[in-house]
Amino acid sequence: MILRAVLSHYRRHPLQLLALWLILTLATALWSGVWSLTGQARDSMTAGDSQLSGRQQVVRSDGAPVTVADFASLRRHGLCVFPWLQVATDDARGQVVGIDPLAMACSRGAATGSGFSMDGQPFVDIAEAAERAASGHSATLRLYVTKGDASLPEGWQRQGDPGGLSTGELSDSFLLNLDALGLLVVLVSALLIRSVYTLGLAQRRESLGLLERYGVTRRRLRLHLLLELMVLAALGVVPGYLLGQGLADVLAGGFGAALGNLFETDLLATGESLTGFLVTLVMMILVVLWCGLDLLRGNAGRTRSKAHPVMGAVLILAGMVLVVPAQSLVTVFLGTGLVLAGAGLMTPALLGWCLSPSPHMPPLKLWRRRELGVLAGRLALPLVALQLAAGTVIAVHALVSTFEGTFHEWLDQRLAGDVFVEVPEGKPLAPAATWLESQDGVAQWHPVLRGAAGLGMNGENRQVDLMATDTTSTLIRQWSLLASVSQPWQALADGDVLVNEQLARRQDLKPGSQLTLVIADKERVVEVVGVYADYGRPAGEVLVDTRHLPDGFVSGFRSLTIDLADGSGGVSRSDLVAGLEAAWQVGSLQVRDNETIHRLATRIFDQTFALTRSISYLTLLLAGVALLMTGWVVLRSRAWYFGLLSAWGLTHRQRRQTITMLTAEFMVAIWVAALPVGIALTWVLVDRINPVAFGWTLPMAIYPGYWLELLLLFGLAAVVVGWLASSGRTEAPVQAPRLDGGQER
Amino acid sequence: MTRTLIRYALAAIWLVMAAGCTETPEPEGFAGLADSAPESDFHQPSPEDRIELPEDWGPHPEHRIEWWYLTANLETAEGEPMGIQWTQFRQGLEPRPEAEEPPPASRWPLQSAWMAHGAVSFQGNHWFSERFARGNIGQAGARAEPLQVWLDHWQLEAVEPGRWQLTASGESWSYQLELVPDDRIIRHGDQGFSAKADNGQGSMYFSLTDIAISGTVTVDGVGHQVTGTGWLDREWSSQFLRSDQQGWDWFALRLDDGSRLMVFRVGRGEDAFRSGTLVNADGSVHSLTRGQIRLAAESYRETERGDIPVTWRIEVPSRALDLVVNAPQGDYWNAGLYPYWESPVTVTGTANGEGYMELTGYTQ
Repeated sequence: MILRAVLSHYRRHPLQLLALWLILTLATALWSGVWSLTGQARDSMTAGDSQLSGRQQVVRSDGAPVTVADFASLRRHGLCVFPWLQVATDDARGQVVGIDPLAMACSRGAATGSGFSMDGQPFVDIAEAAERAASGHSATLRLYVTKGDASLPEGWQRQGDPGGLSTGELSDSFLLNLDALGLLVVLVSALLIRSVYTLGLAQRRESLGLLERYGVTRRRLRLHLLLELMVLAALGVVPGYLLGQGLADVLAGGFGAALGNLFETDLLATGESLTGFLVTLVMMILVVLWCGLDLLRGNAGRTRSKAHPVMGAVLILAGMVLVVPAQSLVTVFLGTGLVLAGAGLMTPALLGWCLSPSPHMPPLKLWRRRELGVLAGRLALPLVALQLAAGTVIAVHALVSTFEGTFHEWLDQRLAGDVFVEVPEGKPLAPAATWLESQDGVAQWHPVLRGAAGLGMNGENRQVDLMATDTTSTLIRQWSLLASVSQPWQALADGDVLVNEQLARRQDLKPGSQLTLVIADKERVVEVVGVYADYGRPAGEVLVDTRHLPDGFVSGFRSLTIDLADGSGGVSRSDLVAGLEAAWQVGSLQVRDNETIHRLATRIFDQTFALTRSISYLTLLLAGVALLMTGWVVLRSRAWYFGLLSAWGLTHRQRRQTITMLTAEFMVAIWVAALPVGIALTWVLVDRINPVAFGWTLPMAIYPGYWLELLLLFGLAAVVVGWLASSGRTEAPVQAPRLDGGQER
Repeated sequence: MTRTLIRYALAAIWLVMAAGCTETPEPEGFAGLADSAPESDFHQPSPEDRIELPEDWGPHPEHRIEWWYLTANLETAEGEPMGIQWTQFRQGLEPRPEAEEPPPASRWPLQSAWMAHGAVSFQGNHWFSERFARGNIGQAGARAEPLQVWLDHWQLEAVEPGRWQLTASGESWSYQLELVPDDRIIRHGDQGFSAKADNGQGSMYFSLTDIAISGTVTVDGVGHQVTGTGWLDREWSSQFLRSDQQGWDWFALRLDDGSRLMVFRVGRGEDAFRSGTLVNADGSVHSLTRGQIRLAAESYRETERGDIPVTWRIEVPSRALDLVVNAPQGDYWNAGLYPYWESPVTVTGTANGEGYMELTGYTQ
């Protein structure tokens, strides 16, 4: 009986029931979608990284080149090796990579099963590549094994892959930020649910009060409401979960197709997982409990306190104090939480103050301002939820765009030039240098020597990595520096140094700082003339010009980066390798084709970024639905007041325009309020979390174009809500004195 | 010729596997075959063909498809039944006369692709792995004398006359077995030509039905000493099943009265093509034609991939045989690129016995 009475509200307002169920379903869809997409992005990143760096070459101990017989022999030994035949094409600068699809399962660490299909440049079947090789094109066969595979037979050894490229900390950072954002998305959606539910509850206060007057105890009433919410949540969680999986599949499928030729699609396999469903279920239970807690405590829809803005300001201040100097991730997350909570408390009051009417305004504008003030108060919770949702979407977009830009820049920097050649052990650079200088087809080249150096700092000597190169090379001078003196490259050529960001942060070095550099026991005082980004690893590094290396310096690893001349004047890769082999008098060289690696890396990570972007689309979808729903519910509740506009003599059309204008102003207000949140979140992600976790920052960038896209979406929602609110019959005013922040002016 | 549709070629291997192991012919499978030479380029088996030994233990590059197919019913030292399977398939993509040398390995030729399957069935569990390789580069191949069939480190090899060794391993399983084949070669059909359809399509097919096996089988890190008997099929052909022939059911049974029975059915329903071979205890061999065999599924087991008929009634009225064949509890799907069911079976009825059953075309 009581249940029927409680539920009678939904008989009178079936659309509200539908709306509540919809928001629960969509939120579940978002959680399961985010869970699935972050999982896929993580797998994609990890798999991509392992494709780039997780393999090792298997080489003969006697140094002889490997053959197809060696491949067969190793496979017969039980080793999961796969062949990689690089062959130059007619276009001297290009090359194809021949692979054996039947053996490629090993590239994924799977000993059994089939490989993957690769079709088209640069990957072709190995027979096709071998055919080119037989027709005179230069070719190199390599055998790869995944790291950690079984021990090698006698006469064989592992060797690092010169084509390898570890994304290292850049990947880790992206995944950490992705997790942080995923968590934020979940929290924001929980807030959206709570706001929609609380709003609906406030509208039922009259009928619930009536039941109380009939003798139903408040406790019993609340238990019934909790039960109702739980049933609705249960009805929403399964379709929501499936919808989220479906969306994730659709989004991932589209991106997967783009890479279908390169990698097995199981890289993007989603599939329903029990863990994913359980996580979604637990999330829903927590949100129901959150809403239910208010019910049981009897303070749902409590009036907004006047102290909120002050509390908000204090929380923001406290959060800033924690975030800015934070040295641990926990502090950063805690501080960010405080800032967001503070923003949530302050925003409604701040908007109310900004939108306060001036007596000199024309009457309709004055009316709109007053209504906006009421809405800002009544919709405090939905407003904050939408503000945070939009802020999160802005931050996700900025994060992905920033990482994407950084990643491509990092790739360009790391893979400068066309070819990377390892200098054979024990061979001097001079013969190769002489030969390279004599070649018109070589546009430019520079050596890279790596070793160790000592850093005299505050009376103690620290070991750091040393990179020495010809800093007059334009390939090096293309590097963009994070900070520098006015003529850094000239100063570097004159004997000063660059340091990587990690070292600069750890030792508090800035352009102009002095330090004592010890190389090969020779000490000299140098000036730091610039700081460069170095995302791949944690070590501190100093970059010097090779001409300033002391005589006793012994490098651990030496390589040449060579850029070939364009067009017909260019030397072919095969001629280049043959020339260098002759100059050094060696049988074979370790050569990396930068273009192939670049293309491979780009294709892999573009997929990850695309997946991550789709998280922001899902969040936006939920925020949009919540926006429509809350706006519609509240504006319908004020339809009676809007009806008064007709009494003022406004035509139906004018009334609709006025209401649409009102909703548009409200949406713009939320959009404006979301911008600082989005910017702050982006700043925390790229400028605080990364330095704390990894010791380097990402460039902070904002994307106003995307903000405008968001504004367009908000505008669209305003038009829809305005149209809905101004159509249909006008009802008596809803008595909702305790509606969240509600008041009549 | 581009060779990027190797997957499809492998699908094709599957389509014809063991003159069966055959899924409903998928359009994509046949589409893939467009990439290999047309069927007419390969040598077609006919009733005039004869089995020549030991040569026919080796590969047949003029033919399109062939396999070496071993199943065995073993018993552990504790008396528990165990089943194992080892199969190696070759799929020709370009025919080559047997007298002609293959292209040099340095060209990574793709005249043929190989696939190997290994499985262990024990205590209701089933472990399966598959491997792939291209032919003519040494990674996989077969040799008639002395017998050697290998793909990677899996291999069946004659270590001395009349004694073979079989080694294979996958995730969580491995076996190292010694095989002593009997010297009785069973030629199926018409002196080795085994018809697969009424229109004359067929394959060359012979078997060793009683191979004494002993050795070690390891599952989940636990080694088991085993002994038992195996059945090895050797078959080659160039024809795929007709597109209207859906599914393949094959039984190889060793009966306690000393007789051996192989029956298969290609397709479903009344029009299904049935054939078989009965080897009596005295060694006499009788080919069984469609009209002499009754084959009916009696009960099904629900599995993740589809309902599987696990109890069969096989009748050969002219030979007074009325057998009920049962698969033990468990899920015996070989979940490879193209899944099929391969399980040990027990036999009751007019004679008791054991054997193996292979079913395809039951995936949902």
